[in-house]
Amino acid sequence: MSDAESGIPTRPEIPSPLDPGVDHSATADRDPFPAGTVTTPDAAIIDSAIVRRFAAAALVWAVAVMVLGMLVGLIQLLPESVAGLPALGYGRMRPVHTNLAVYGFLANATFALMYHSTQRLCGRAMFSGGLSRMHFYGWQCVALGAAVVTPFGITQGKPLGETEWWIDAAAGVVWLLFTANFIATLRHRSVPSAYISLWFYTASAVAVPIVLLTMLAVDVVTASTSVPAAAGAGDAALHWFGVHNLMLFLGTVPLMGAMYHYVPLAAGRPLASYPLAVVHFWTLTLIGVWVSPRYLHYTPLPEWIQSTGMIFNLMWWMPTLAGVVNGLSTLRRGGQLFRGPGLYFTAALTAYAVYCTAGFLAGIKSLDATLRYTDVVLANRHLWMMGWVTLSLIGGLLVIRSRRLAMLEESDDREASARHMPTWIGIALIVGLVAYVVPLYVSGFIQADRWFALDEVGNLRHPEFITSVTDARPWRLARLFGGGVYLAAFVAAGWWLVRQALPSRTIERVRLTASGAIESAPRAPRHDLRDAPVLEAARRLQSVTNLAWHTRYERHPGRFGWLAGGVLAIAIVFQTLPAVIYGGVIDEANVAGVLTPLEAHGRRIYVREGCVQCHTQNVRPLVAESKRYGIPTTAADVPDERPHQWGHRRVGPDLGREGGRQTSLWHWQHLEDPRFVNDASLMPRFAHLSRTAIDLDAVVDFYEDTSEAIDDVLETDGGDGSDNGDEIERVIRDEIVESVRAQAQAVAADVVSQGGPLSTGGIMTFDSETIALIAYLQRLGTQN
Amino acid sequence: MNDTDVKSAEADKVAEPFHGHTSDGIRCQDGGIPGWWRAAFVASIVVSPFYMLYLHGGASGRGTMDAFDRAIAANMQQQMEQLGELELTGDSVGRFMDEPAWLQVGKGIFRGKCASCHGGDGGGIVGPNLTDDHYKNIRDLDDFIAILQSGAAGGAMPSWSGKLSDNDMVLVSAYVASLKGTYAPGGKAAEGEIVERW
Repeated sequence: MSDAESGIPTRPEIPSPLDPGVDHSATADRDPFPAGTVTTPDAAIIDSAIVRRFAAAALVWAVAVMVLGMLVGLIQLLPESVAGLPALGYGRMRPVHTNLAVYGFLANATFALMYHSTQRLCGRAMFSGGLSRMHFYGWQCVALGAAVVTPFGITQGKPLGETEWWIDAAAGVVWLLFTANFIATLRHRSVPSAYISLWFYTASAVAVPIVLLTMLAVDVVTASTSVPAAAGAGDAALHWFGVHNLMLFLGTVPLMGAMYHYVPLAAGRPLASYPLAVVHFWTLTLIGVWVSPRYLHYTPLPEWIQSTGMIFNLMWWMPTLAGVVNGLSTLRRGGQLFRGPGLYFTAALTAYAVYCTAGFLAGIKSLDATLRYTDVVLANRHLWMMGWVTLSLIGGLLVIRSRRLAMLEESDDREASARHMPTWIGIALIVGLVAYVVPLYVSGFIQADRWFALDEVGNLRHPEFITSVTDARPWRLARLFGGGVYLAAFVAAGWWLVRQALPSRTIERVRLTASGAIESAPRAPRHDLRDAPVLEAARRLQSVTNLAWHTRYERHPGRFGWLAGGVLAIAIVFQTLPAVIYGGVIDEANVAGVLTPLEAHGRRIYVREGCVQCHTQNVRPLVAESKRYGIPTTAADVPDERPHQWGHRRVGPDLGREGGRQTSLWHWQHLEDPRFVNDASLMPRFAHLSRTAIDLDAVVDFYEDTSEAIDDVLETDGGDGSDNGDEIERVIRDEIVESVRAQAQAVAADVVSQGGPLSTGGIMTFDSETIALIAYLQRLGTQN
Repeated sequence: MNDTDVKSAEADKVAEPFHGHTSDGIRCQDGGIPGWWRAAFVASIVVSPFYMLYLHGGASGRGTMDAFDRAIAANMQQQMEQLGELELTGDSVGRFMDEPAWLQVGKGIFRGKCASCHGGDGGGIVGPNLTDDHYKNIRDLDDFIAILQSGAAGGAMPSWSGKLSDNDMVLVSAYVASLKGTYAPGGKAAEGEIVERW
């Protein structure tokens, strides 16, 4: 206290990690803090510059994300607005928005709160300021890298997992800097017991690199591109495992940790329930890692894996709500539900509860049947990001500010504390959020109705897919209005936070004990049970239920991370490896053949252009789907799908059985100008494909690197006595080129004989990328 | 005091922060776990093994594909009850041209499968105009079925065998036949020869 009373030094020294005040010989022991020998310090010096950096980066990225979101939303509704600029098409631009939201905004927001909270709860500065800064700058490079590549067609082609292997690897390396710094800080903390928040941060620090590792299961094709090591169902299982758990340990877990730190401070009273927090942490992480198959109901993924997703989804609902109950009760008891930072946490937790409940409902198989692939999924994601993440960050920054001001008050700087963030900003954010997500939910329900409604004789009530597009359109426009309100309010909030609430540029001396009255909870009276063995046993049982053992456990917080990480690894083994190894139950007699070189190239174009952002390739075993699209997709249809293109949304119709449905000329004209065949279509023009010649060298290289059929060719040609590797190489090359030419000419002959052009923009029809894409589309779902 | 007492006394001391110790000024109350939360959580755990057992306990007929097959069969039955199994002849086509309810069904099939080439109103886009009185390959009602089964124009008009059921072929033929002479506004120029019949 004497430090604080003597005023704030303008530039105090950061204590070295090897501060003589800490006995480091003790840290080598299993328990560095023998009970009763260490007291909690009153004050510490923390590195607030790193908090400031991450917070500022989060705010800047957030504005970029929202502006991009508005643009992408407009591009979707007005596809002609970017005609002629392939890089700005919806399929390529949408990942820029989502990747910036996750790697730019979300991660930086999480880091800002974790760096601040960790230092205060450990009662010391970060172990290494240098590592913190490397983490910061490294991560901004990762975010930028994740955002800028897809417009150039560099993508792994999986929704929410577009980042190429080198971005995933860089993210993992940079994250490990954080993990090392965090664990070291935790080990050298100056308080004996690790508070609840630190458990969450530990789990996040350990688990995220493991998740990123699952995203690195790829075959590198060229230096910058790759295809997944697993195919079809295996790829899908790994992909959604990665997406789900990255969002869990990057978004939900650390922000829940921050909630446990800042909400009691915002409420000005103790946390409502310690036992609930313990149960919350363990169930959220240990059950949460198993939930990912819920995104793959009604797919060729083996059904028993889908069922594990179903039951863990069921068991996970209450765990997701535990933090909400704890946080809201704390705020309510403190009378701070709608005041100051409390307002933001109330809104954030409410949004989170609605998000989790909606996600839970959509993960129930019978509801998933109609809601999956609709805008409901999109609405959920935005509710999570705009509600839970954004409002938690603002609430956290406001608490950080008010605690800083509370210290300044002691040095008579009352002017600073007199200003509060205007309430209208908070209200405008909430109004904007509601006005954004509600139309999206409505549009999702409209889509579900148009896709699945049957009439009284059992036929599709809306046989034309376009009905769902035109009927959803007004609501998709309306959400842009809500988004505009939200963006304006966020810019106001950001401006205010930057001027008023960012932590200091250097380091801060912070008081670790809060001012203000804190109630102490009533304690049960204790009796002397020495002479009553039965009662003594009951008392010891009670010490299990009253979590004293857990309190001891908290003195070794590293274990929280290792346990969560360990269970995560077990989940990988049980939930994704079976799918990877067996690729689903395949009827061997019915397995689809591999794609020809031309079709494989068409598939690369499909991936490059981001078609998966709007089209699924998974006809589900439901009556309405089979009436609209054909026979359900099975594992036999996708034995060598790398990457799988099952998709996540149906802005346009499913393409799983597209082959043979339309003529090649129809595809040609549709790709040149979708409005020519349907004037309500939202598809961008892909006219640039007909003006681009097929790069034969790229086709050959890619096919040689990825196709198992080459092995057969090698066997055949190696068998006639030729040992010359170059010779075989040349023969294979010629065969591939010949195969491409022959098939391209056959498809082009179809197009031309049906009335298509001989050449477009100087490129012969049979030379154009459009022909490769048509060859692939005509192959879809026809394999068996 | 024996060992047990020392241990429990220590446990109490460590448990102390549970209520009273501060981390950055935060303390925790033993607010317990809400009863409804506990009940719902336990219930979700209890039902889960039964869900797995029901689906994957070895009993047959409970999988997703089984449910799908049953639903499809029910749907077929629903349609058969109304229609019966239609023969693929021009007579069947003619029979449904005067039944507005079934023409509506044919229209639905047309809009889903044919409109991308022949236009939503039948006026023709890539494929020919079906609303005038000129036809390229049709001379009588039987030809509708033949064209649907085998395709035409070198594959520009694909074959729908296996993609449409027999009943669907009859109903969509009836709908297309009923379009004759409706002259959709903005339709393509007439192709083929004038057909007087039906």
